[in-house]
Amino acid sequence: MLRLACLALIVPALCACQLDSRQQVLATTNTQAAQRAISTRAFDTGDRDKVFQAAVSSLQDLGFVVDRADGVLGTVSATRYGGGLVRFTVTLRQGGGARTIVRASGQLNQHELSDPAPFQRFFEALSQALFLQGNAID
Amino acid sequence: MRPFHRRVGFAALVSGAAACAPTSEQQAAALAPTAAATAARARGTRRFDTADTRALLHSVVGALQDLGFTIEESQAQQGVVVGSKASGGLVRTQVVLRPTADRRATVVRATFQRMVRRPGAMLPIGETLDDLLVYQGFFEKLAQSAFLTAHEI
Repeated sequence: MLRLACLALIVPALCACQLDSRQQVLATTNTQAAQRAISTRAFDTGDRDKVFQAAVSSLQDLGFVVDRADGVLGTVSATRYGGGLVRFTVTLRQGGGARTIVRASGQLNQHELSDPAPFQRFFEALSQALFLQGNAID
Repeated sequence: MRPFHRRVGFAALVSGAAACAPTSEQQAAALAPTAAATAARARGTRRFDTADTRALLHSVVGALQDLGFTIEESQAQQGVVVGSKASGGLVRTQVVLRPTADRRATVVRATFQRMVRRPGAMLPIGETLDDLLVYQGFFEKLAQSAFLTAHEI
């Protein structure tokens, strides 16, 4: 009886971990707008190259190794090992009025980064590298 | 034959077969178009009424980030973005942008693949995803991303 009860508990739990391909592609923790709010900052500079270099050096400061960087599009992807596998992408785009908008995203092992804390850490490092305060996007 | 011996024999046979060079037919089949190629193209293609390829490329990258993908490769000039995410295996996507012939709109084509590593196996098994709802869902996210990106969010 007890064994049956355990099985009844375990089977749905296992099923919950199984993702079909649709969920694998489309499942997200936050809404698109909410995820962007926690992972995007605007910096008051139109010098995108400077922000790009600062993003690369911030990632290095945080123990990442850059996998690839595209200066034309403004994307940097990097990986960090230790405390799990972290894959992180930073993208830059020109904002209105001499601003550069920086967006970050990443995964820790099999899960997307959906909490504000890792992004705050990254933007703090980036702010220090740039001597500029990143402004939250409304 | 005892079950254990049968299993060993089977394993030897499988590894022997795997070591054989593929036949001409097998090699040709590796690049044969599937019967559903036209359907796959229709499923993975959308037209966006903008000639601003660069802005749309940023929207594609934004949508992939929204979905938790990491950008693996991008060629801005050719309009190519490749991303992946680990989610019960590895999901890879390639998104390619090209302007329409009249250069007044942009065509976006996406392909999703899923790969699963098998313990002890040299090569992962994988498939191209053909679920219509995967592509519909992605293009909905992309449309939303284009709106959010245009509003600097």
